[in-house]
Amino acid sequence: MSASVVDQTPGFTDLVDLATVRQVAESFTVLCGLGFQLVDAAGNVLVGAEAAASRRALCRFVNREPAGAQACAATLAIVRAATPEIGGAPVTADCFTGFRYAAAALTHDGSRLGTVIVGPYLPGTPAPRTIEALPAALVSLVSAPRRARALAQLVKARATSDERARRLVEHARAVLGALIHAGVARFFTSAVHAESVKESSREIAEQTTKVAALTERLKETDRLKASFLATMTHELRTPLTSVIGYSEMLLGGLAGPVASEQREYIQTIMGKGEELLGLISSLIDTARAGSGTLRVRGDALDLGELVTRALIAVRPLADRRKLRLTSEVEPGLPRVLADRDKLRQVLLNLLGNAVKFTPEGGTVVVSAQVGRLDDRDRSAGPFSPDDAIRLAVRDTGIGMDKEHLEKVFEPFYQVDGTTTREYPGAGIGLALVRNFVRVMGGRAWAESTSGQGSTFFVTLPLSSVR
Amino acid sequence: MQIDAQNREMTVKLVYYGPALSGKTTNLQELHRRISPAARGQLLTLETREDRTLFFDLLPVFFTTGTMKLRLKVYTVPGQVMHNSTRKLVLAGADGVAFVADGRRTETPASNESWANLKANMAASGIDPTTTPIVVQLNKLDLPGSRTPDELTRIAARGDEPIFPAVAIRGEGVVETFVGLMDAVLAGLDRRHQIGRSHGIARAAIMSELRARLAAPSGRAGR
Repeated sequence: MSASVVDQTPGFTDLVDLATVRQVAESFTVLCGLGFQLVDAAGNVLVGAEAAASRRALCRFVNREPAGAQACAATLAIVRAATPEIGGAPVTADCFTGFRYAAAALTHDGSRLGTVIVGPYLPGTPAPRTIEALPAALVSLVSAPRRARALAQLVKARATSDERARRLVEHARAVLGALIHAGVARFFTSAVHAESVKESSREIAEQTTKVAALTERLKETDRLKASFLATMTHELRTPLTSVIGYSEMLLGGLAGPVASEQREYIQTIMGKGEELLGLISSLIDTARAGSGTLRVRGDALDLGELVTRALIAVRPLADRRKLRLTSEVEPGLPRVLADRDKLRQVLLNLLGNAVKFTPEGGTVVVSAQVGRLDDRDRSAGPFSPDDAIRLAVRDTGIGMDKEHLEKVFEPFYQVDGTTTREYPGAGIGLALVRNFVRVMGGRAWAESTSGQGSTFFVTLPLSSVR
Repeated sequence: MQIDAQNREMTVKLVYYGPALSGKTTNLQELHRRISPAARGQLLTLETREDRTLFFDLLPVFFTTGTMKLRLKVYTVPGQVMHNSTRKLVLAGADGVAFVADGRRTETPASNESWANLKANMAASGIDPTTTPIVVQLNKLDLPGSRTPDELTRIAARGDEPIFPAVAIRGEGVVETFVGLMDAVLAGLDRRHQIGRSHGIARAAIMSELRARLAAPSGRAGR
């Protein structure tokens, strides 16, 4: 059996608090007028309490005689070395004075821990009344002139029956047994607790090491990602810029005249090239936002102007779809400090999204307000409505069910996930909106009713844009 | 298992394992009632206020057969999942395991999980599952939704471990499980350590002494 903390065999002093036993012993002695001793299995006294001086007058008298003291010590040694049967009845041991001790084995789980001794007591009645009736061993130890004194001391001692002495020693054993049982519980509780804490610490240390290794791997992955992004930015954009640039040159007639049909083809090449460049930029921004490397600039902005420019950018597309595109920008909005490029991109993405999902003849309205915001914005973050600006893009489009309201902000999410879906797109426009807004300290969310249209809100803290 | 040749003492460690609330402590309480007071110590229970075992229970059993003194340390582990480190501590060095499972079908996942945990902790504690006997007690068979005798037979046929049906709260199957475990442990110890030949410890004599100390229960009306 390998050593486990629960298999330890606690020692006597692990189990009982000797100071407590001493208190019990003293109380016992006061109550029954007899001495009390607790000795360990080797016969060493752990706790001893003597009866009141008047009760042990004879012992004191005898111990004043040199031979008496020796005999007393020898008797005590014999009593303490007694090994009453484990689990058996108490035994008695006689003293040369005529006194007697009662002793019982103290055990735990069938093993001897020690012995409880009660006494000395004067057994039975009547006590000797004459010098001749004194025990011979006592008489031999006391000089003749002092024997009458010895008799007087013996007479003073109170008699205790063997039966009572046995009951008292049984009682003492039961009290100590209860203390030991409580001590065992305490010993194991603290031992197991300490061991559990040690085990937990070991597990935590193990986990910490694993987490540290994982963190290091993540950092390495991040470094690789950043390096990949930088490379891709260059490698993807450079040839695309050439495609767009050469298309422009062809259109400008630098390579000779261009027929009308050719012009149309080149315009398509250029348009698609610019679309692809925009998509690549958005993907890179999404990746940067995910890795927390997006930087926010602070530009003094006229919100009204920003909205107007965004509307101009999307109007051709809206016109093609015969949509009504209007703005409800509060007049006299203060100039605000915000990242111009990001806020413009946010507006363009929201407007592009609204135009895409609104059927012919529908309406798209963009609004901007400062202050006077309602309770919905309170959940936006640790800023109050009065300190915020809110942009909203409302459409009369196809709308969506509640379950999609949050998911549409996840990268590459499509409400219609089929390959044959009606509305094209990579699914990164709204994800970029949320990431840009988040890095500017704000919140983006949507409200919608399927079949009736959607409104996308963006709240930005004025504290960071003023 | 420890043998103190000088003092002719052998110590055997038995562990009652199983999911929370399957009746491990009830088994020990019933054994405590059944074993004659001269042959057992007090039942040590370290429990929380809600009467759930926090650390473990320990029932010491001791008796002499011939000139050899036998000490059995019978433990329960805390069943709640969170106390795994204590379970490992208690399980370390076990000579045999009684796996107490709730016999209701709805408790099957908990039993399976605890069984897997036992096997994992045995491996972690270096206890060889091929040489350390395990007996299984399916407890609470009086409750609705419990396994039928036919199902018990099928379960027993699937594994190597003996299955003991029980209603521990009524004392049924408790002694059978204990005696079954002890017999399997002694047989295993004899096979591996030749305790019969080298130490003169006769399995039959020990089992006979043990049975003699498992008297009819006392202290419960109508039993």
